[in-house]
Amino acid sequence: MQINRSLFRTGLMTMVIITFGIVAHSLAQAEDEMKKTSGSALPSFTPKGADTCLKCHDEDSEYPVLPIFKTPHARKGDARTPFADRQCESCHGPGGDHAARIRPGQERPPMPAFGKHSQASINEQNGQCQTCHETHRRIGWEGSPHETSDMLCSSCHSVHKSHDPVLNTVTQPEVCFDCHTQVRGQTMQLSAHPIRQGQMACTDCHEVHSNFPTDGLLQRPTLNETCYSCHAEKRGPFLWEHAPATEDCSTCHQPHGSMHSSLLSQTKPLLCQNCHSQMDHPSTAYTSEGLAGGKPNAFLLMNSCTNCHSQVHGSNHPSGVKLMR
Amino acid sequence: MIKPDSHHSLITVCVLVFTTAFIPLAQANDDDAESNDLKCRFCPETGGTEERYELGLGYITDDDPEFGDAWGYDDKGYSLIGNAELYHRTGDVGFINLELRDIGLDSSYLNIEGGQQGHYRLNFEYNEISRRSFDSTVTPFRGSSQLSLPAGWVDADSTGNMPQLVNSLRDVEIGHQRERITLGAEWIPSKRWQWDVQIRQDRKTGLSAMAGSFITQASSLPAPVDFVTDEIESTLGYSEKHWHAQVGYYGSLFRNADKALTWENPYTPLSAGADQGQLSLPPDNQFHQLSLAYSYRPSPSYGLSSMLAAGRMTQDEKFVATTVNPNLSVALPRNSLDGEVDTLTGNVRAFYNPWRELRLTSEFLYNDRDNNTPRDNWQQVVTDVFTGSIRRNIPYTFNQQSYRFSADWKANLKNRLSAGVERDIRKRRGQAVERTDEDTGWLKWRLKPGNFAELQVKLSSSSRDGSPFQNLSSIAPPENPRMRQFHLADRDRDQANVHLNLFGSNDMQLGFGIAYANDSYRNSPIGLQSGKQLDFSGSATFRPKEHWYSNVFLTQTRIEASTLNSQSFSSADWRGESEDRITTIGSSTIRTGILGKFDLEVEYSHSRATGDVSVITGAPNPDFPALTSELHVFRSTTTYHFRPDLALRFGYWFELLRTRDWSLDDVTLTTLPGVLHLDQSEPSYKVHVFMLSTEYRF
Repeated sequence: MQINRSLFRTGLMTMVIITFGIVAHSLAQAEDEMKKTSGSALPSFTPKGADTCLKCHDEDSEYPVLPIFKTPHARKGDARTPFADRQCESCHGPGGDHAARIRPGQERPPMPAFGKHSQASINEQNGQCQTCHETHRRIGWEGSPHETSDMLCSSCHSVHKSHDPVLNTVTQPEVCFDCHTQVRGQTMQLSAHPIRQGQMACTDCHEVHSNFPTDGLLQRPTLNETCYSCHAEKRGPFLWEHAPATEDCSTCHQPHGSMHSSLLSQTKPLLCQNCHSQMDHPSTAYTSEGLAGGKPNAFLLMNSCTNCHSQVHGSNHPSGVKLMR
Repeated sequence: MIKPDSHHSLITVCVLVFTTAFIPLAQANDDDAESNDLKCRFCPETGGTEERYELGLGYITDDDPEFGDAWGYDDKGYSLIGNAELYHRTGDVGFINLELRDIGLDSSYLNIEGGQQGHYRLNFEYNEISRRSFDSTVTPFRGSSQLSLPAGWVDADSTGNMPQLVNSLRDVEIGHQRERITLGAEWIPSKRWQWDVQIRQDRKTGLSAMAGSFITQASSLPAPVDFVTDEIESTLGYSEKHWHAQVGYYGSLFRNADKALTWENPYTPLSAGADQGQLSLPPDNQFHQLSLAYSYRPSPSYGLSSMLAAGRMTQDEKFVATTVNPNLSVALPRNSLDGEVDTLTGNVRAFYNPWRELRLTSEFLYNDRDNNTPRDNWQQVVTDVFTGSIRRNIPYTFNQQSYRFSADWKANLKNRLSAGVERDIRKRRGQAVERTDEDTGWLKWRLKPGNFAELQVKLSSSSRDGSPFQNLSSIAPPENPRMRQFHLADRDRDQANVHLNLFGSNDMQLGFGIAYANDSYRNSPIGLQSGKQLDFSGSATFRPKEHWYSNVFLTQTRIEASTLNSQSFSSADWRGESEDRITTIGSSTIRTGILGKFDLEVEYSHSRATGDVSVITGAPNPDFPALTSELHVFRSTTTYHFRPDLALRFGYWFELLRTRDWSLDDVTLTTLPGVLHLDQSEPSYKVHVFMLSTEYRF
């Protein structure tokens, strides 16, 4: 263990040294880049808006754009939408250069935002969306984990599709799993929330835009409050509380999936014996001798500790101090 | 509250939130963007109706309730396939949407919404989820919340000696049906204001397995589940150019139709009158919470966001009797708990960019659970058998404060470096350690040498120390004084994460990730000693054209834990070790428009888990057999389009699950003399599903 910690601290120190080396090296470079970019100006808007764009971006485009006209973004009657304003250029930025005539062999300038070769920074591109969408349930976005990971809104949202997959319970996890591959594996374990079955979406528990700026980007201000949304019977308060359960469900449970029943993080009775050491049966070593083929032991087999202590989330029975009633 | 300084932090939060809230009021203006009057001759009509209906039959080859868990499939045989989607848009902003899924299954979904976009929206949603816990379970008990044994039952001191047991068994299905109805509304009276409300009712009915015991003579009982949770959530948001505010209310009311579960003792009573027992079922409870969230961002260079939520949990269900043993009469100190917990959660996050490449972020998190439930002395009757000691209830209270500071430096176009420090302080009342302080330092480097690759490395190290451990007199019999519960114990935690993404032509993307976490508990003579987790993930996606998507993924996880304990109630004399290894692989391809007529979706995934457990006492005991589970899933769907609006779809689906679990292996109804269980077996199934349906689009 000491070796591991030493290794980590050495790693950390190395990273610190590399950090400051790169920082020092890049200072001058960054200033130069700033000087270069500060003088650049945006092109002009096209005079005819979407009519200009649709001359090329029609039904036969490699990446169809027309389904956007089946989405809320295209409703001109809603004054907040892009199509009530500059149409395509409301989001993509002024397309004057992009739509202008080019000489044979000349590369067509990209649209300022949301294109394969767009020059706009991530903040600038997200800023286009935030102009309308920063309100209401997204006000904690700045500084949130997805924001600081340089996520583009379009990394998850497909605004040109008639039905954005990330907004549908069945198709949403596929979008999230593109990055969260480990969670995809966890949802296939023996005990898991019904995500694989299309009955739960990631956003049932997670508020990915950080409305409540909690660890884990949760829908409610704390982990337990998030769990109680569906498991309100475990909320209490109970007469006899089980302190770790009251404080943090993840003390014993793995939220995305576990090879152990009830999403437990470890097999029983070891999970319980990590904390319980009272004289007699809580601290007894239950060896393989207690398996069904040997001397079957009730503290080991079937539901182990919960063969008797079934009220592990708390009991409201006057005689329930041992969580057995 | 635990300590007065908690109040100070809270006051700081409030002051920050409210003072910053009023600063920009003076700056409010009406600089609405001017609407543009661009015409669009080539734009398709945004009004119209899209409809899709799918109707067909499915056939399941085997009766395996565990396969049907959450999917909604019931038994072997035919099932209806029914899906529908309707999207109607008027020429301006009106819309009505309907989505219906799986109407022939026990897990179905319906959503209807409509309104005027930008003005209001109403929606109704219904969904049900069917959960099945065990394949086949049996019990001799009859009834629901009053469980009785069949006439002629002869009790005995052990399951093996119960003469009527085998003949008295009946099938019982452990599982529940969850139905949720949601009514939602959204109203946008102006560009600045937005209000929404969601009212949900969640009804859960069925049976769960609960244990009831008389000392060490236990029974697994089919306990009734008849829960209703009503939730209401409403928020009102106001936006200005540089700031946004939102007030919200959340209420959750839980009701249980059954207050107690009484069961007849199948064993020979251990004392006079102990011929029945009673369990308390989850009590009705409520939670109400008000929240205020606010963000202020006057310039891209600095900004602030904050949130404050104050809530109250209450529970005042009338107590059941201390015992149902008529020979042990005990008076209650109160008729109901009058339980009350106040919660307060807050957060302030501020960022400042002194110059374009550098962002400094500071954050403060506050979480308080103040349990004001009255304390009383409770005469215990041990499992309805004998009168025990008097115990005093401990309403647990805790408080958490986290201070975080980080710097994020975009060194150049290729390198981004971040570093941060955190202090997490937790104070608890009624637990063995009153305060823990955890300090964390982390460093993150992100390298993006070009559009073809991205590398991210994050290292973090933290150290947690607690106030002196104290033996709690309230725990009886006492814990071994050497025990350190792992959520309270001194701990070193090191973590490393590496992610590499490679982007190729044809929208090909490769992703690799390694995550390592190592927990070491420094001063725990007894208790968890260490926990390690190593994750590897790899994925590749390939999207050469809009109509073609393929992906493949692999994940591997290894979780290790080591614990010490003492059966002699002194120093550690045995060690328990566990190691779980899980591998998951999968691949899928979606190809549409093959030969202009066919769509094809093929998916295969496989998960394999192995868990090793060792309990080392010095005696020559062999290791436990491995816990294993293996899941194979193959799904394919072929769609043939007769016409653009008419298609025939054939689906084939195969699932195989095999598990081995030594806690259930060979455990018959009479294996455990003191546990009358439900005879649940390890979940295993092999199922084929065939589906044929037609789809019509308008």
